[in-house]
Amino acid sequence: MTGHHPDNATTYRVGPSVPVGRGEKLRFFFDRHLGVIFLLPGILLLVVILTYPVISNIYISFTNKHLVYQGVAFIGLENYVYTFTDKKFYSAFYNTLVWTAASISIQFLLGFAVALLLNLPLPGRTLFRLAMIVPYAFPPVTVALIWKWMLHSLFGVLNFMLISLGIIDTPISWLSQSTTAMSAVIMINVWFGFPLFALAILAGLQAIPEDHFEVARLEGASYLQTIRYVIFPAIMRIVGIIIVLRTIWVFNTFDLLFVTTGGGPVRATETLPLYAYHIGWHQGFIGQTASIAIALLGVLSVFIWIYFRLFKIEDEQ
Amino acid sequence: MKLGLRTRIGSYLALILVSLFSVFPLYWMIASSVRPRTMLLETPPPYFTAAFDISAYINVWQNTGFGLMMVNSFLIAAITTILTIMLSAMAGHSLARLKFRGKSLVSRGVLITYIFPQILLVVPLFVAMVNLRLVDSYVGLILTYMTFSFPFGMWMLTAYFQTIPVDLEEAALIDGASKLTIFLKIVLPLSKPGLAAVGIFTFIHAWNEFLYALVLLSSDEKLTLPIGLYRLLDSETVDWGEVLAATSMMVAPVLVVFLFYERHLVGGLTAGATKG
Repeated sequence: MTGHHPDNATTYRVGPSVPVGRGEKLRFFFDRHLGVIFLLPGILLLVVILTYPVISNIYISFTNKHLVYQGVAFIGLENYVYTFTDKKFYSAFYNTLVWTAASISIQFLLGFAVALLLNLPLPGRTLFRLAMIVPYAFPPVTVALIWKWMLHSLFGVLNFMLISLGIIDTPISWLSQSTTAMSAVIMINVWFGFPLFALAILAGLQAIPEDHFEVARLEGASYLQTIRYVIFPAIMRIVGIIIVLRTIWVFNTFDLLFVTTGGGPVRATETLPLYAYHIGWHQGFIGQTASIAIALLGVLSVFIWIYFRLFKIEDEQ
Repeated sequence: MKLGLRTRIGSYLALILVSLFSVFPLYWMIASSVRPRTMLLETPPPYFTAAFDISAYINVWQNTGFGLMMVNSFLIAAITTILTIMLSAMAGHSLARLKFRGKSLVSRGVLITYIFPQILLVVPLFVAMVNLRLVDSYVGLILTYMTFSFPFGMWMLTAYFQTIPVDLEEAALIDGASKLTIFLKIVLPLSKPGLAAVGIFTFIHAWNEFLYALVLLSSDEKLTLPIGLYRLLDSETVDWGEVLAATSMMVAPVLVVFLFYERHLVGGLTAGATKG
């Protein structure tokens, strides 16, 4: 299914029949412009429900619009000045970087290792592959809830496990102390996200022709060399694209953090999306939130740009 | 590739370890949900127990409005899915087969919306919905969900339609069939797997969605499952038996679909990423 692009080679080579009668004319018009007519509803939806808010967001960011209080005044750059001088913005920014970088890198490493294992000719590997999918089937809210239960300070099974293994002496309230909260939510996110990496990389591995491995073996390449010279080049593009996509999604994660810690304790896990939500919904400063959204977009556009670069490489092949 | 015994054992051990990591929470969720209430807060918790009690499930159905929320979630997800399939099949066909000016501009524009971070839109979208009088209405929520799923569906179906041999459609065109007839009678029936994939992902996205449901819906009787589940945590004393029973019931349908659909999962999840 790859390699095809909307180009002339796959569009129709024959034109519609020439109109005969007058009644045919409408049908002919419809037929002739079907391409545009078919696109209109979807594009209209995107323009009304997405583009309009995005543009109005730019305007709102220069106003003092509030969720509850009436009346809107233009206040210039005040929101931006406030945002960029707010210490909480920078701590949220830092948290977002830690959360995203740690989640993605651990997810990738674990996913890559699992994909290599699942690609070995082992009996029963289908069963293991099914087992690896399980976390990804959990809706984010349920991920948060089940882990909240497992990490519960008094009744959580994890504490019990670690105590019986002799790793810790007393129960730890993982999610409610600032020293462990971030590590705990990252661990939860790794659980949720590594299957996608594993499955995508596995699909990439299975697409490598068998004779590439054969050649590597005949040349006496070690397993690590095979990974370096056969596997890496083959899966680099798909890995790159998934890392960029996942980075955008993880960067923007709201539900998982909102339900597990709510950004706490004492902002230890407050990432930018939660910071923005807090200012917009709890404090009601919509203009302020709009300016944060623009700042976020600035950061994310770097990733969007990389994504399009990766796409371009694929286009050219 | 032949494996030595040691590699074999090592690989199995590693696979078993990671599988435990990924499956144990599922087991623990179900096991805790059917554990008798008196045993739920036992320390240390028993890994296995023969005691079996479904009263938590009954309580959730009777006391928390879980049934209504499930119906709400199902309706919203189903309508979103049907509309998304229609719109993205039409747009996908248009991009895959029909010629018009500005086509590449459209497809690139839609790609941006596909990866556009939805979190950035909460505030402006809420304001827009207020202006459109669509706050606390399913119409607003469904339209919002469609802006996530339509770009994804369009990309996936454009790629799918391109794999259908064009000769069949050309033959019909020569026979005098209109483009609409070709779309309805030839393209769609041949694309059932692609349409199903888009449907499944759209449905699951709407079923799982949290943030927009939280912001856009306010009346209790309109709540969807994710918000309802979150609210179970809100009370003074959390009844974990009920929370986990509700959680199990929300996970179950998605898990069943994922396990059956496992073979096609990756292509779907990365569609638009792997296909131009």
